[in-house]
Amino acid sequence: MNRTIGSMLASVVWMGVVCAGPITPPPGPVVGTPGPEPRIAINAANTPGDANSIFRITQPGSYYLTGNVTGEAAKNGIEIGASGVTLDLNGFDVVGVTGSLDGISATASLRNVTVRNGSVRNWGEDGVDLSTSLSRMARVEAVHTSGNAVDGIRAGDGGLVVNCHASYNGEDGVSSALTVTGSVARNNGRFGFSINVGGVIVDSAAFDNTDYGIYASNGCTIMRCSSRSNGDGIIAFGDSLIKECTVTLNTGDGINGQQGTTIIDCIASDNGADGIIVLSRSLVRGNTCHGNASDGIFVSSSGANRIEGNHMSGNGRGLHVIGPGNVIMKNTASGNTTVNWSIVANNIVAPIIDRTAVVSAAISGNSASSSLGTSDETANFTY
Amino acid sequence: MMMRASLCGMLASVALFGATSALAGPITPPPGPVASTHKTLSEVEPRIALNSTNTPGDFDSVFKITQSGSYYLTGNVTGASGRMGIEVVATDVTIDLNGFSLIGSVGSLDGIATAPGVRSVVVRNGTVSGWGGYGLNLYSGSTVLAARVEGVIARSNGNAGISLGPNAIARDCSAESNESSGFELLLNGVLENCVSRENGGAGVITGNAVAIRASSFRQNGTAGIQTGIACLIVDCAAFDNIGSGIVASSFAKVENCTSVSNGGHGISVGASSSVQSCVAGLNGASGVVAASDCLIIDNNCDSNGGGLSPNAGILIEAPDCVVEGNNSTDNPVGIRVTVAGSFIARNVCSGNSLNWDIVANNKCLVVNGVNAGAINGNSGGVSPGSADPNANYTY
Repeated sequence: MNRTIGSMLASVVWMGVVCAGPITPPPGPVVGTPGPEPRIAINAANTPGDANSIFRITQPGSYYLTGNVTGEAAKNGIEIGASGVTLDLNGFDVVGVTGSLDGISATASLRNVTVRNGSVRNWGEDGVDLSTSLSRMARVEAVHTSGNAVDGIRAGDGGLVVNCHASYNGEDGVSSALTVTGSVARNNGRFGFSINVGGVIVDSAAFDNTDYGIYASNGCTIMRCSSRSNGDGIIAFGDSLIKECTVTLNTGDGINGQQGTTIIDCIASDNGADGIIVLSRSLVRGNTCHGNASDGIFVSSSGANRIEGNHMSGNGRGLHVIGPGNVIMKNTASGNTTVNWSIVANNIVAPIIDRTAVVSAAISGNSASSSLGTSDETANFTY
Repeated sequence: MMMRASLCGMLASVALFGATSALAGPITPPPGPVASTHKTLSEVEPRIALNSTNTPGDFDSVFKITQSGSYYLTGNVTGASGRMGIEVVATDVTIDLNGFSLIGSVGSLDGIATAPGVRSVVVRNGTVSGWGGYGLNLYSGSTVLAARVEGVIARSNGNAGISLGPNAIARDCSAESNESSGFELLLNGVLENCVSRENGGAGVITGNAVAIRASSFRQNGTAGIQTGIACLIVDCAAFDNIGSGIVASSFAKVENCTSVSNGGHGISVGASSSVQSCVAGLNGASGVVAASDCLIIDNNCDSNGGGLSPNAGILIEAPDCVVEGNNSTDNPVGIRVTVAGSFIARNVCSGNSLNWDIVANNKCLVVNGVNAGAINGNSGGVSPGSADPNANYTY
């Protein structure tokens, strides 16, 4: 019996020695096993924070998250203090708490900063703030920001925003960008997108924002965007282009074009005030304005606007012009509840042909008589 | 007695361990030889790291890629005098900058450069700054290159920021404060969703048949956009460049662009080009300038010319153009045509120092628009002054 037990214990000891391998350490200093990830992980060892940041990047390089980041009061989540930084959120979530600062922030005068691929939400100030004074040339790509107390993304002068989503932020969804493409801003407390002078926004959507869906400075190009159910749809300051956009169901105006703005081939419908407003020296052509509570198109008193080829139906007023010096032709108006046309004197207004009582006979074949009532190709029509 | 109790406890533990083992599943090894289940580093990261072992440099390069394949950076690369950062001498190479920076130094050459004859090079996801030559120089003489550059920032390089040869694509890139142009594309390329600003030369300069879309060009030293023949420029903004906003050679199509507050012309195109649905405002010279055989349609030209009389909202300096449906306001001259032979219809001018300045022998009817009375209802208005559907109007 004692021999059996002794054999059993000996076997256990022998198996342990054989299975565990040699326990003598290899000669030389201890070194890490090389890994496949050369980028720098964001953690307390590599990027220790300071008094106002949980993590702080102080050297140029490529950084990535290895997990979610949870905020602390009076601190930024990740503060970028060097130019030439790429921060890959790696799909993780950077989550603020009450009293925290920015989720991701950049100190002054930085260049060449990229933030990509993740979520930044619920911070006490901005979600991503790369717009500190003199910082520029930031790229923000595939980042979701939501629930931040101020802006979702502040891209800064020269900022490029691609395929981002900004929602439920306290002020702007995307602020101060130069080029925005393929992005969505919704339910933000002020603007959906604000675009710097000479900026471009294309193929993007803004909806349910408290103030303007898209707020564009001078000389901007706004193409193929949708702005729905905001306070106002789109405002563009001097000499901007708004084309092939839809603005619907905004509480205030659909499109507000300041001086020298071109608005072409847009749809402005069911807005709470005017469908389209222009001030002076603007070109408004080929737009459809339907069901707006006030005017389909409102032209202010400054003059020198060209209003051509637009269709206005079911608005309060169809076309409302309160100043002289505009040219108005080839437009159509129908079923506007207060009045189809309200235009002060001293504008160039092609004949407005009232065809409300005229209907054509049924047509089946290759020809029919005209029921337009004029051969003037510049004529406007009511029907 | 005590020893017997201990033995019994030990045996009970062994029995319990045996029961646990039984619950854990069979311990019979699977048939066949024992095989490793771990992955090697090369399986986890099959790409090739750029370093002195894998891609050693030579007398004029920090790193040199001599074989086709997929490469990636493992850290920032700092330049050296008389050297390129990465030299590519093999075809079919992808370089993932992996978020890192190539940082030049005094006397360094290009950040990344390709040798003549190299084709199909991709560079993505990083920054190239401070090099003595180009940031990216993926232009190998006259050979076909087909480069693609995505998500790269090029800044403060001694030549152009990103220079690409034929058949190249640049997407989601930024170029700032480079000594020469922000972007250069030779032939048949595409540039989209980019920003180019404060470069010493043009925002972008291209050869023939290049498409540029959805990009912003601001505060560059010469033109915002300057292209060769048969280029497409759509959905762009050129703002506050020292030269002209957009300068395109013949057979260009410029559509849906804004060109505002530039020092020269807003948009200038060569023969047989089309400029449509653009805004040219507050430029120092003319708003839109066209050579022969051009279509200038549906543009809005406002407050150009700096008040200097030769400048115009639209300036046609060669014959056989169609100028149609434009709005020209508050320029020194609204529409100016200096040679015979163009068709000028359905334009309107207002508030210019001189609304129309058109030499003889053009097809053009200008009518001083007739003001209507007030209108409130379903009808009103008067003929603007002509039954001719092609009439132009002053208003």
